[in-house]
Amino acid sequence: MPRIYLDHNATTPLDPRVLDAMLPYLQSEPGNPSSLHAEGRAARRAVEDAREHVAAMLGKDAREVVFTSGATEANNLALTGMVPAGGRLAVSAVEHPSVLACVELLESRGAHAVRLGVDRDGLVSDAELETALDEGVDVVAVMAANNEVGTLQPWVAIARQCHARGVALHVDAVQMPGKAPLAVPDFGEGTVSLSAHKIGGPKGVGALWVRTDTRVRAQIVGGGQERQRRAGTENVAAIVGMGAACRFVADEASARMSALRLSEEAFLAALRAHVPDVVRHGPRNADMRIPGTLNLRIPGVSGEPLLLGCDLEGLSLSLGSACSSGAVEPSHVLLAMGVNKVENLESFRVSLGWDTSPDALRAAAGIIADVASRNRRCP
Amino acid sequence: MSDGTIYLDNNATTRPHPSVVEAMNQVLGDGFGNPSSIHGIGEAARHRVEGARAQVAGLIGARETEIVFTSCATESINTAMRGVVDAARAERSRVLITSVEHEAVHDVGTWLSSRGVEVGVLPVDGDGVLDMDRLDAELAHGPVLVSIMLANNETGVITPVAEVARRARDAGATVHVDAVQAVGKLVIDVETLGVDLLSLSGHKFHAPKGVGVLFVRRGARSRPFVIGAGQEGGRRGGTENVPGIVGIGVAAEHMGSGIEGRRTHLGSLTAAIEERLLAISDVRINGAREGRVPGTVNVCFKGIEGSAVVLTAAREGVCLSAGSACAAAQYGGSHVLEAMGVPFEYLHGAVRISCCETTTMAEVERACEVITRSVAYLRTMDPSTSLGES
Repeated sequence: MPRIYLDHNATTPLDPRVLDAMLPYLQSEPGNPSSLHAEGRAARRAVEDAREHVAAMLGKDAREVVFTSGATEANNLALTGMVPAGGRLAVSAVEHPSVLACVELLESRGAHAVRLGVDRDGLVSDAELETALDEGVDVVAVMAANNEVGTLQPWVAIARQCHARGVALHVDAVQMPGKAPLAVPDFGEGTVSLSAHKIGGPKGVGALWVRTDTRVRAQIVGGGQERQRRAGTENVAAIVGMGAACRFVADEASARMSALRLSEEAFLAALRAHVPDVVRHGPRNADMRIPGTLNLRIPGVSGEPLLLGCDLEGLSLSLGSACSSGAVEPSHVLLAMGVNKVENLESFRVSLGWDTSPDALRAAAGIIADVASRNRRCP
Repeated sequence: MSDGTIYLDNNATTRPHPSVVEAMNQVLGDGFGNPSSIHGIGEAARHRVEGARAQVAGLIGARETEIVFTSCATESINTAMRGVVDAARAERSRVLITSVEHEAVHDVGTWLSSRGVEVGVLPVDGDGVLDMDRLDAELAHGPVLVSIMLANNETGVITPVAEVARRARDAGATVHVDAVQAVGKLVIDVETLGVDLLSLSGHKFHAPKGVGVLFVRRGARSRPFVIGAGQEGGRRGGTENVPGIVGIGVAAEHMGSGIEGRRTHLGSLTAAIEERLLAISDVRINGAREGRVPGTVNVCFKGIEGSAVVLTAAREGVCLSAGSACAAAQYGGSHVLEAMGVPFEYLHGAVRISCCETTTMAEVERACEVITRSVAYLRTMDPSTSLGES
């Protein structure tokens, strides 16, 4: 039995079609996009084509897309680049660690940050957002879809609220492509960050969409690439890969979403058949979450031994988010949603791929049930 | 190149080595795990990253724990320079760079000075060699950081880093070296050099673009720059670029071996290029004749535009550069040649020929023919030639 990988929110296998698109730029095209000769110009064209694909996925202008080394860098660029010295910002309590790390850094430099609470479903409190906007902030950061529980924030409405007040908005949309409609609404000022390796593209590349006229100060300086917004020789092959991945997502978005929805239902039904008391965190209403992300808890079964047991059986899962899994600590997302510490440490994440097979889903449910029954504490 | 193109712009970027492509291909195919995941697939990815870290550490004589992977040398340089200044937290910091540093160092210098840091710029002489007396004089002002390059990207001129570092550290400064252009051409040993931080770029030594290295000596006063979920021991946030990191590991191992043979080969190519180009009238080779890394020749032709030579050569399938690639997209003379005091009538006529280990004698001979013809042609076309002489 081949391994079953259900940790797609941590990273996805590279789409073979994306690899095909990248290979020429790894193997035989040594061009530096800043060089004048034919090799350089070919690399430049490849980068610009990829930029078009990323922009098209968002329904935006290619000139607004800045390539970075990943979503973490894109989040760094957006937040450190937009928040003025001593500025004020409001962020949701359930942001990705890379956003929260930037917020802490900004605070250490004199910025003032408000953490917006979330409800039991993980939805940002509208009242707290309104209060923050009333009290005056420079930047709001709210992720589009949460990586741990899948909650979909009403970011179109939030963008409108921010726009109306003239407040810049940063949206971490890393988990969105292929799981929810991604046309970026009309923003005032603002940015949207993306990662390639979460959508079938390669690691080492991400993008920040920067709405025209938004003032984002470059963070990595030294060379003028990316229209002075991000220095460093462009990672051509990976950028080409990201462009291809975005093109496939855009073309296949509705097929992928319905595949994920069906897979999610099939998986949950199979798991519930074995483990009737499994609990799911996050919104019940399917419209309020992305399909394919299941944050689950089996009462009396600790998450870590469950995960390690499943791994030995050939099934890859995650506790909370991959990035925080170096140490087993309660998830900040579940804590913010009011999940207590014991339940928090029993939680694990199953994140499906749009191409995960029904057989794999059934087998995974069986493995989880077996390992859970071996690890369940007596009541 | 397979299509007959002669690629002599290896200081701009190099073609990934076949063993690098092969290793990356494997990772791109089945090694897709996130190194932070605790399951087996994540662990396999982490194992690959750590293997590459050992290979890179081996290249420069560092400990594995002193190697931080970044997205490129520009990021390494930003991290190093800003991290040291940030960590020093001095009321008024002073930083020392040289007039011939890569644009990235200059731009970070400008960024720092816009934030109140004093940035001293050390001059070089006509050969591109650092003025050591000025270094001593500047060190007396107590800089927190000295950032110098090991081999110049435009001319190949080598800085006596070990000596600079010794004096700088005696003066209490932290030393960062941009060693991007030295890999595989010089033995780089962080102990011998005595530096605190060192930046490398993968794509300049047959690894892919999108990956760089920052060596941070244990105990060095620095801070992280790109922050996130604590990857790279908290020194660089962001999911690791596993295929790129695997690629730079393989390339590091490859470049760390056979340096003498590579130097000999590149040295004979350099001599052949210089001999042929010096046969052209009104020409000068820029940078000290001795004390350059082999394989880089920077030549100026009086009265013509270097970019015109580059473009005409490109039409004949020869890839060259007019100075550095990063500056190619802009107009204006090279800051390196200007710092060396290259006369005005030569300044815009700069052409850089940069070879790699697979460059053949036949390729450089053909390139020199093309350049010679191109210069002769441009001189018949260009009225500024005669103006320059009036």
